Amino acid sequence: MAKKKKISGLSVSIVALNIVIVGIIILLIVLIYLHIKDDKGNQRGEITTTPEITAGESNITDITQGSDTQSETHVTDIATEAETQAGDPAVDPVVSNNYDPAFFQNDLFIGDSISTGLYLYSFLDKNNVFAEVGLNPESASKKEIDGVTCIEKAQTMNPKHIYIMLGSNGLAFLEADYMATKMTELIEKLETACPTAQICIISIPPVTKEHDAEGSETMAKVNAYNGALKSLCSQGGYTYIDICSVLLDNEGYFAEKYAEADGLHFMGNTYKILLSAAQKAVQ
Amino acid sequence: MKIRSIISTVLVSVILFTGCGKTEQGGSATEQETKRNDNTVSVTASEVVKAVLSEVSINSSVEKGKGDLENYYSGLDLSTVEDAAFALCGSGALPDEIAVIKCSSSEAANSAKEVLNSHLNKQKELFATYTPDEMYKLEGAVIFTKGNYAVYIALSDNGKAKSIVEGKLA
Repeated sequence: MAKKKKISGLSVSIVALNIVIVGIIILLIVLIYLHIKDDKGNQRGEITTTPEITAGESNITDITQGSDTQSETHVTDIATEAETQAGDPAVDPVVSNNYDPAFFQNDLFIGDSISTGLYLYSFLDKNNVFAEVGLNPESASKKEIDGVTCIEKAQTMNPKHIYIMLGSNGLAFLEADYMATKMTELIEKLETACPTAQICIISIPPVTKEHDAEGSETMAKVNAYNGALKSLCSQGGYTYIDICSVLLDNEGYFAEKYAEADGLHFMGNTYKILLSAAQKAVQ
Repeated sequence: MKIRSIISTVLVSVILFTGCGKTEQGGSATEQETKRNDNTVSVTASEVVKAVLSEVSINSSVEKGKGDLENYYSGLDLSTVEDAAFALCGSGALPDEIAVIKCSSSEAANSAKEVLNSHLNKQKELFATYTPDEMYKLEGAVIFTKGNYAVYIALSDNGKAKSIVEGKLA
């Protein structure tokens, strides 16, 4: 009899303990569920803020899908443009940043480090850009990128339009007229390689007031070189795209809202303005 | 009998609580889910890169993924790459860059490391005359492998970045 009571007593305490444990487990499951739910919510929040951090609307799709995102980028750009022009005072509504990435599908951009941003920010496919740090009109025709020169690349690609934006790197140590002469030589080689391509010369961009003050690349040099390019284009019948004027502030320097911290390179959104101007120039 | 039962119950409880404690220490439930049976690292390459960038930033940073590797790291055997993320300066003004490449084996990671070494040499050539002030990032660049991962770091604080990567890949 006494033994039965013991067993009965044991059972009650064990059952009570097990109920407590089951309760704890249920509580833990609920807590873990809520935690996971919260995590997912946070991840959604991160995705929406990433484009601002990286300054390029196509970055999220780019990370996950590589370069097959040009049409998606275009859709995003249009939306962004509408939003920014409506509510962001930093974007000048007069300056167009509307462009169609598909328009440049058969085109080639030749440039220096500034032009590398065209593919680094995923505005264009890397195949449409021949650009590298330090290139200038003198070095461009001989320099090899991935084993080919820009002339060879153009010959293979046979682009509809060839856009050249070179000279910012030579400003510090080459004369404007010399660089323009080298630019003419480069154009002639490209014309020989691609007789049907429309050659477009893009002015070099301005420099900020702060950068100008450093003395190596100044607005006086920029204007002198761009003047030489403009005259080269009118003489040779080439298309001249004046991006420099578009990017100026009221004092005649590179507007800080478009300029990278060094006062020479582009902010991400500035490439849209460049591409918009390029598209309009040849349409 | 009673004592045995109580001890058993307490032990079960302790085991349960210990298990939960590990979950808290090991990270979120999502991270736990990504733990593999072979005890390899639970984070993605992108998470590692983001962790570094939150501490050592890149001006005008752009992050890219596995699909972009062939455009940037010439010679890399893409068939051996399981996961990858890299970030660099979008404007092309600076040599700042971090790449985390997860390969299918440690041998493949060593091959990837060689490609990253070549990439570093090319970057040094490009930036030596272009931005001498930024060369310290490349001169002090860190390239290493950890398990199946190959890592390239050329940032303003390479030591700190390496420590973060090693912590994430531990």
